[in-house]
Amino acid sequence: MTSLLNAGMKKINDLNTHYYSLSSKELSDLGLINRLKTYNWSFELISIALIVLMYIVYKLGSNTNLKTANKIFKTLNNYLSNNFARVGFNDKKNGENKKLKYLSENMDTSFTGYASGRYYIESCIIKLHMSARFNPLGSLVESLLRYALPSLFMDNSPEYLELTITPNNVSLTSKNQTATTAEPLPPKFKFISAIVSKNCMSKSRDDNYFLSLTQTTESPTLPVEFVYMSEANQLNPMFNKLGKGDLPNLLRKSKWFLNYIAFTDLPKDKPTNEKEWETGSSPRCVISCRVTSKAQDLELLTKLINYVFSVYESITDSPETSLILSTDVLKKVAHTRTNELNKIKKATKQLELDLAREKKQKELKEQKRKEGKSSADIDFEMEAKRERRRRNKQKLRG
Amino acid sequence: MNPMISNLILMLVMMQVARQLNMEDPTVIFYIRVLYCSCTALTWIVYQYARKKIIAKNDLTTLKYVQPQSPFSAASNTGDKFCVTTVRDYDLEQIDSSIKSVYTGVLMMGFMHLYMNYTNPLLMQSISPVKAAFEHNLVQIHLFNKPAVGNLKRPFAQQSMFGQNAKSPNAADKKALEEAEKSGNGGIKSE
Repeated sequence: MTSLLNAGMKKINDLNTHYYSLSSKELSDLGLINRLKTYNWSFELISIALIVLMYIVYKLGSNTNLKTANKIFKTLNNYLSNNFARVGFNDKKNGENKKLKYLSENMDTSFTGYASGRYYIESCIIKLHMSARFNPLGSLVESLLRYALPSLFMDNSPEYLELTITPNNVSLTSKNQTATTAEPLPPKFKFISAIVSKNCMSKSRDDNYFLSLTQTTESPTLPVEFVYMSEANQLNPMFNKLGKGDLPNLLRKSKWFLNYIAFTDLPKDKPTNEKEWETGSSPRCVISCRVTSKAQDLELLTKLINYVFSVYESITDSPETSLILSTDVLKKVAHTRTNELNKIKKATKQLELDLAREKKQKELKEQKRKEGKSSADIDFEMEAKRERRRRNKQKLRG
Repeated sequence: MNPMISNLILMLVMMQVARQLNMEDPTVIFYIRVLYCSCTALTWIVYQYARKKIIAKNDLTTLKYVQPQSPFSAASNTGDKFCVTTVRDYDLEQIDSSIKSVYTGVLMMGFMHLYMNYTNPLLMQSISPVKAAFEHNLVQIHLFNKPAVGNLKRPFAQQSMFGQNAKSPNAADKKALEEAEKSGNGGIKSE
């Protein structure tokens, strides 16, 4: 490798052997134009061409991402603006009030859209993530590594479109109109039930804590490409009973891009303590799909969003909700949460105990070191102490 | 016959054959290269054909099992993993890993033969991949149309080095499977 590099460097240097062999007097006699003509500019020209090529590739990649994002957000924002009072973002930079369709981050690889202000629905957040098309070499290396060493990559797939729809329990009917968004939502919004594509069942469960608490069941009411993942099987009929529209047909048409539609109230990432559990828990519906910019796919996506709205409308208003989300089901759901929370509390307590024990041992070691004992002596004493304890325990059992 | 024993016999036979050959002779090297390339190509074609058949069948039956934790797994504290997939995806995953092993073998042999100038491994590694391909569970199911029962029942048990069944993915214990399914092991943040 080094020899190859050296040979390359030598070849580059050899390009101008004649130019460098000229003395400074000869060079000054040549004049500017002749000097420029004598010098071999091949290396510089190739370098500039490469830089230009890199810039073109960067621009092309970046523009492809932007074009896809524009297509997606145009269709979705058009649909959402008919449903929500506020869609998109206001940019108040330089004193101007500019309307932004979406926010772009990480060199046009992450896009976020937002809509709020609607009965029944608190907000709708759109997250679009696309691969770094402006760096094809990096993407190629990454995909090769992903193929050869998949265990190195624990992250999500680089491209996805995710919509999070949050309900607010504010109904058109007079009863709930006074409800404020600050109020916690009633238990009827707190359950996990999802329709997941068979293409990504394990992946969806691995990526989402809430889905890993559910049971997977096939059903004749669903197209063969999808399954139910619900924490109680009694929740499965809610998709057909509470939502409006021909869901099986919609799913059949969306099977190419839809990953899952999940109604949940638990966090996406597994909580490690009570605080994470509380902050991550909020009722919502997540629609996850592959990135698609086809007009008919986006049209289907808006129909899916509409379907989710109709489910939340039914949960808020319809008396039929109590038939599906019966007291028994809600009890079962609450039981799952209590169990999970207890598991988290137990794990946190165990972690605290381990840390305290570790700290105590460290302090003890430090104290003994101060007394002038060597590390080996301390370890020997500790081992003897452990052995004594073990024997005492055995005696007690005996 | 147990594939492990037949592999051992094959290896011994190939060793004897290798001893009879002059590995310095360019003609012998050429024929060994031809043998290795043809065998690798045949292996690859068999796997690709099986893959094509899997895709054509498109069996979307759900398959649930508990995957025992790999001793070489990066996430050592996660324990056994619950997997839910379709027969099609399971078969594709298995066949793809076999195809990948063909590529790895070619790379290894390329390095050994072209860079280190060893010809012996080329001969030793020519027949066994073909044998492995024809003994592969999925090739048996999809190419030879054998029913997926007994040893061919999914999820497949992996053969250990000494011929016994290693800790196999478990699909039998219904209660344990249900518990694993609802264990809440998803969404673990990678560190």
